[in-house]
Amino acid sequence: MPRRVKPTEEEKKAGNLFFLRHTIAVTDVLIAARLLTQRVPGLVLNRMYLERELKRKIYVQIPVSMNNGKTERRTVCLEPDAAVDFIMQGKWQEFFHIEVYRTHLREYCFKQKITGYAAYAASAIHQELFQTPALAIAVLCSSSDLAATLKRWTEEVLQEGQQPELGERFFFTSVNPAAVSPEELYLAPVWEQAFSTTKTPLLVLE
Amino acid sequence: MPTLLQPTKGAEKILCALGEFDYLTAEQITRLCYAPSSVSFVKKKLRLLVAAKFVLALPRQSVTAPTVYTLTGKGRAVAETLALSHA
Repeated sequence: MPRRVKPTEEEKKAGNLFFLRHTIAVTDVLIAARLLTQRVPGLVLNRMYLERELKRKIYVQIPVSMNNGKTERRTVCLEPDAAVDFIMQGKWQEFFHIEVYRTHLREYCFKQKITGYAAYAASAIHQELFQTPALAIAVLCSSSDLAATLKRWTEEVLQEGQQPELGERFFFTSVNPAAVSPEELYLAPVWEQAFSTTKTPLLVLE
Repeated sequence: MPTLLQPTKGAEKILCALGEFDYLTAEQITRLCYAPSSVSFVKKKLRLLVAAKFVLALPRQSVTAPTVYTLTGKGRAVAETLALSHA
């Protein structure tokens, strides 16, 4: 069934400069994934999910500290900007949820999102929704300062939750996906994982 | 007033790309489907598709911002038919 599009709806979106710039930035990451798999033999883009396909799909329970000192569990919805699922040499699978940040954001909001991702990674929800145990979160930032801040906040959340082992699932970069080649974005050591300062590629071709 | 004859001819890749990604700039469409030198061709095709109401050019918010394109309902129907025929 074709989706009906009214020009006025689209023009309203166009009026939201933040929405359009963010969407275009996310699309740059997905285009790079598509082009990469056209250029690298043995690398297949198994699945690609746009934001609209990930909306209201992932619900997780996270612990929330209350004013009275008690902790309650609250259900939150994780809405990644996109997701890509690669299969390498027909043997290995890598699945990334993509998060693009172009502006600074509130610490509480980001930390709650990371708490959600940690709960998600520790649960069977991802496997049930996407039929793979492979999972990492790739965070692309518009500046190195922002990348460093978001990485530090991620480390604080994982440390407080006593889940430092999940740090290897979180990747951060400030590379502009529209300005570099797909190989540089995905295969070059331009990413840092939480709790590490070593530069690493997002995808390692064996 | 000149009539556009088959405005979608030769623009199938553009319609499919917009069907898949929803919002794209001419530069992104070029990167995705064509050689970098084809950006003028892509812009020309987009102008024809906009004139024929298959594609909507969203108003630019500033002079430095690239134009973002999306499908109209008519364009989406064509893109879905094209996607099915290539499936």
